[in-house]
Amino acid sequence: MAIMDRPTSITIPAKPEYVSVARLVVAACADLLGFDGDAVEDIKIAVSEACTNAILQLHREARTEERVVTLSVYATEQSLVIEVVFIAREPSGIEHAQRQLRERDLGMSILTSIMDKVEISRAREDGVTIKLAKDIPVEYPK
Amino acid sequence: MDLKIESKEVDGIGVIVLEGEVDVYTAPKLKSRLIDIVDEGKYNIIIDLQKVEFMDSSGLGVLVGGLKRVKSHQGSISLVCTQENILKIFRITGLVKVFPIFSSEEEAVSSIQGS
Repeated sequence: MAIMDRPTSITIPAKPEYVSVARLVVAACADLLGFDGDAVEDIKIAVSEACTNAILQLHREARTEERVVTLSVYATEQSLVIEVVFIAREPSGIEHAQRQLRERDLGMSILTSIMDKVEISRAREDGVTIKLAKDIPVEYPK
Repeated sequence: MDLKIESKEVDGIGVIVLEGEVDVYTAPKLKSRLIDIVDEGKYNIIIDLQKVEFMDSSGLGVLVGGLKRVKSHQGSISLVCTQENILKIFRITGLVKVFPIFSSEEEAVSSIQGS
C-alpha cells in the first residue's frame, strides 16, 4: 500500500490557537511523502491560510456550537491533497469563503503562489471545502 | 508555539524583536505591541524577524496595519530578516517593495539615521 493513499484526518476546534496543531499534522504528512524542507514550509503556510479563513468565517457567523474545522490529508498519484472542511450555517457560506479569501488578498496571493491547486467548493450538509493540492516530488518512489 | 515579543529603544528608534510563530493566534499580540509603541511616540520602528520560525498573512496584515499607522506620523517600519522561508512570503505578496528589509539591526538603524 502506498504511503498516504488513505486520508489522515483531524478535527480541531475553530479557535486560532489550534491552527498550529493543523500545521504540524499536515507538515508531518508532507514529510512522509518526501517533500523537502522548503515545500513543507509552503504547505504549512497554505494550511494556516485555509484554516484561518475557515475560523474567521465561523466567528463572523457568531456561532457558539459546532465550531470545528476538519482537515483530511491524502495522496493521489501526483499530489498531496489537503481538504479543509467546515459547516457554514449561512446559505451563502461558500460565497463568503470565496469572498473572504479574495478580501484577505495577501492570503489568497500566498495560497495560489505556493500551491498547485486551490479550490473552494460545497461539501455535504452545508459544508464548505477548501481543497489544496501540491505536486509530489518526482523522485518520490511510488 | 507562542510568540515572544521584546521591545527596546536604540537611539530613539523603537525595536521589536520577535521569536516564534506569527499567525492568526499570535498576530493580535504583535498588533497590540505595535500600537503601544506608536502611542509612546516612536514612529520609526525596526521589527527583527530573525527568530521568527513561521509567518502567514495574519502577520503580514499586522505589519501593513502598523506601517499605515506610522506613515500617518511620517514614520517608517524596517524589517530585519535573512531567513528564506520568511522572505519568500514578502516576495510573493510584493511587500519587499513596501518594507525596507535589512540583514542586521545595525544596518537598519544606520539606514534610518541616514535618511
